[in-house]
Formats: sequence, structure tokens, C-alpha cells
Amino acid sequence: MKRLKGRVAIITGSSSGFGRAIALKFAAEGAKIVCSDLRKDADNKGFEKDLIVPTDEAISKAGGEAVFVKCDVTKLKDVKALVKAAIDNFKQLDIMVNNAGIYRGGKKVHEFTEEELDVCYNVNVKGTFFGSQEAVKQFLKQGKGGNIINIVSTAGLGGHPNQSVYNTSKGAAANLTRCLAVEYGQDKIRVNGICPTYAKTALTRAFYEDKTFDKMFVESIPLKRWGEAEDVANLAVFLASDESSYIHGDLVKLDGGEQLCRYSV
Amino acid sequence: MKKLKGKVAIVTGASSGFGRAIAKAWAEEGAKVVCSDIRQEARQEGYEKDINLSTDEAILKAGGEAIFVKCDVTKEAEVKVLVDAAVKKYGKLDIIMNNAGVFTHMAKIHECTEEEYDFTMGVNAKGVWNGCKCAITQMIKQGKGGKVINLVSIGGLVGLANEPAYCASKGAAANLTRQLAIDYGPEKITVNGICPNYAPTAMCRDYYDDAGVKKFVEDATPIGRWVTAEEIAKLAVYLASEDADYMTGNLVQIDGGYTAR
Repeated sequence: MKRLKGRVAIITGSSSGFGRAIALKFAAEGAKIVCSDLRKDADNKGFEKDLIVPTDEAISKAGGEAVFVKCDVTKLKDVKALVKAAIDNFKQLDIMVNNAGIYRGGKKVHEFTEEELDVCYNVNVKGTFFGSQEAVKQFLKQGKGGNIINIVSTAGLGGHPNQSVYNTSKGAAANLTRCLAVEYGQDKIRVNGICPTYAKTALTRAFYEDKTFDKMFVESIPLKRWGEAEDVANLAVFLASDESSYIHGDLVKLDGGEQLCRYSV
Repeated sequence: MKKLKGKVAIVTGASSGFGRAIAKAWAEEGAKVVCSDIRQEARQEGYEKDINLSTDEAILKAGGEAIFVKCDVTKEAEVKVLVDAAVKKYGKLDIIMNNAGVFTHMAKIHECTEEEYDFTMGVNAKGVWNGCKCAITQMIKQGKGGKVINLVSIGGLVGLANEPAYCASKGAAANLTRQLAIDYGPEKITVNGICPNYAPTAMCRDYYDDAGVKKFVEDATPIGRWVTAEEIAKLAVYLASEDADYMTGNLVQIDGGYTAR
């Protein structure tokens, strides 16, 4: 049964990792997808089996509908153009997944540069903020509600060692999710966040291959394994569909029981 | 596609409200359901359309599989009998929904009696403890993991006016949920909680029927309406399914944004 039949979704950062898995699963559930990213091709550090096929082509190959729009989420005009592309191609927008994210780590607070701070804030905070603004404007214009999912991270909920620029940017995204929920619930715009822990994607390939970190991380997780992009995609379908109709303003943890961070980059 | 095909589940407090909706939803998804409660008939103050049928009867009528086992969750021995009954009838136990819960009345702590505290903690905290302990004991024996889901409530996460015993008991259930996830993750037993706000069920009849309280909840909830038992059940389906295998130690808020502020 197609849980997202007839819906139009934008996914930012959809060329690889979580974004790709979400786009593929949404399409399999009947949604039309506007894929977007800085580049069309998947990051070749990723774990996807069909890495050489861009996300939109993989969707079309499987019988779904998708287009690709190049978008730098840190630029408001790009994000406006992205939402316009959804309307131009598919006449409406129902779901916005603010997934595009960047990571900086391995340093203590006093060692980070201003440039590293700006990069994390621009993509993870500003990008999510712009994506949310433009989606909300379109939803209000359409007058039929809407759905926003922000890919946050457990890093947005606690203090993890040696990645403060990432954690503070994700903390901002977490609280933006709550603010959106409080302001737009009456307009039937449902907003939630997903908080995964480390999962096997291009973003974390280096940590996965670092045997010391891998061992330390797996030992600290009660379920004793890394997350998979598939886990995030399944939760995203649940949150985007009518199955979660009363879940609103929640930061849903999907972290194998992590709770307190007992590992360190 | 049936998401819970072949699974065996226990639901406590299954005769009415959330428990009834969850038992029905799981049965629809292919699970064999052991309904349990202190009485088989639905509470007459409830809002269910098919209130004259007991939950197990409603499931059988719809073509599913279910039995009823009487159980007072405050007694560990009775909960063990419940788990044993599930295994005897259906061969195993995969999922337990610790849903049985009580709410006495609105009062401030200096107005509460010792009996009220003991009763509320007995069902809401100890009842959840007993369910977790007995189910997990069985799941360890089976060696193939399992799922424990606790009906916690936002009262387990934040303070709610005039509900001191309820909030204390739900706070206990909330943190037990987080704690158990740590101990049993290696066994692939996941433990999560569902945290709703006020709902139109027998438990909240007095509030839903009071126009002032009904409006208060609507105004305080960003989504602007009360939840339905069916919406709670849909979350329970997700949590019981393989889709949620990596989720554990999580208290899922299903409150229309009530606690987002």
C-alpha cells in the first residue's frame, strides 16, 4: 500500500546517505520526488550498492517519478528556486525534508576556526531555516497543511566531545523544529525531527573505517551496531504519512539506545 | 502487507481505550494478540462504537486471532501467568504493550491520600515493571530478541497540574524504559515508550465531556484538537514492526506539539 501516494516531496542533500535513502523510499511509497543537492552524483565514499546511479535516475529506473534540482541550501535564492521547481514540475508541495548537512569535528571549542563555525551554521542551521521558511510559505499559499521533517541528529540533543560546532548547529535545528511546531500546528503543518546517531553513510565513512572509533562506538550502543540509512528512511516515511497524524514537534531519536555519548571523535 | 505477521503480542489494559485500539490494530496487522485486563468487558464510560463487544471478540469478528486472560498487573505472579498463557497458546512471545494505567482524580499533593499514591504507583509504575520483567525473562529464554512498549504519557516527561501521583508514576515508567534499553540492547530486545497527552477514552471522560477542559486542551495543543485512540495505535504498529528495529530507549511524544514549547 502506497502510504505517500500522490504527494510531492523535496529532499535536500538527496544524492547520498540519508537523503538518498529517504528519496528512494518515499518514491517507493508513491511520492513524486524533487531531489536536490550541490551535485547530482552520489558521494563515492558512500555505502550505497548502486552508487554510480544518481538518486533521481534510480527512482525513475524503479518506475517512480523524480527530478533533480541543483541547490545550495545556504543561498536563499536557490531554496526559493527549489520550491518553485516542485510547483513547476508537480504542481504542489506536500513534504519538505531538510536533510542537507555538513560535519566538522575533531577539535575542542577553543580550537575551531571561525570558518568551520560558519560552514556548519550556514548549511545545518541556515539551510534548514531557509528550507522551512520557503516550504511554510508554499504550504500557507496552498491552504491544505503540509509536512516538514528535519534531519537533526542526537548531536542536537546533548554535548558530545570534540564536535561542538556540529552539535550547536544541530541543537539550533532541534529547537527550530519545536518553534515551527508551535507556530504552524493550527495551519495543519506538521513538523518533526529525526535524531539518528552515527550511521553508515559517506559523511561518516572515515569514522567507520577507523578501527579504534568503530570499536568504541559499537561498544557504547546497546544495540551493538551502526545505524543504517534504511532505518532513517523507514522513520521518515512514518513521519511523512498519515500514520503519524498526531506526532508533532517531536525530536524522534533513532539511536540504538545511545542516550549518553560514550565515544569521542 | 501485514507488518506484524506471525508475531505474538500481549496488551495489558486491552479492554478499553488505547489498549483496545492497539490490540485491534496489531491483530489487523497479523499479530496474534493476548488481550488482558482486570475485566473482559469494555468500560462503559468509553467512546468505542463497538463497546458491547469485548476486545478479543471484536478481533475474532474481524477475522483475527486473540484470547483474553484476566490479569492484575500489580501482582507479579499474575503477570507471569499472563506471559505463560501467551506462550502456551501461541508458542512464544514477541511483543508486550504495557498499557494498563489508572488516573484517580485531580488533586494537589497535600490533598492526596496514601491509598491514592499506592494505587496509582501500583498500576502505573509497578505494573509496567512487572510486565517488563516477565516479558523480558521470556524473551531472553527464547533468545531471538523482542519488543517492549510502555504507555508512558507526557505526564512522565513534564509536570501536569493537579496530577502528582500520576506524574510520579509515569516518570518512573519513563525512566525504566530508558534504563531497560541499555541492559537489553545486546539481546536485541528494544524498549520504547509512547507519550500521549489527554485523549477521549474512558479514563478521561470527565475531562473530554467538560466543555471548559476540552477547550483548554485544544487551545494548549498546537495541532488544536484531541488525539484519537486510533492514532496511538498507529504509532504502536510502527514501534512493534521491523521498521523500528534501531529505535530503543526512546520516549515518543504523540501530543500534537503540547510539549514542544
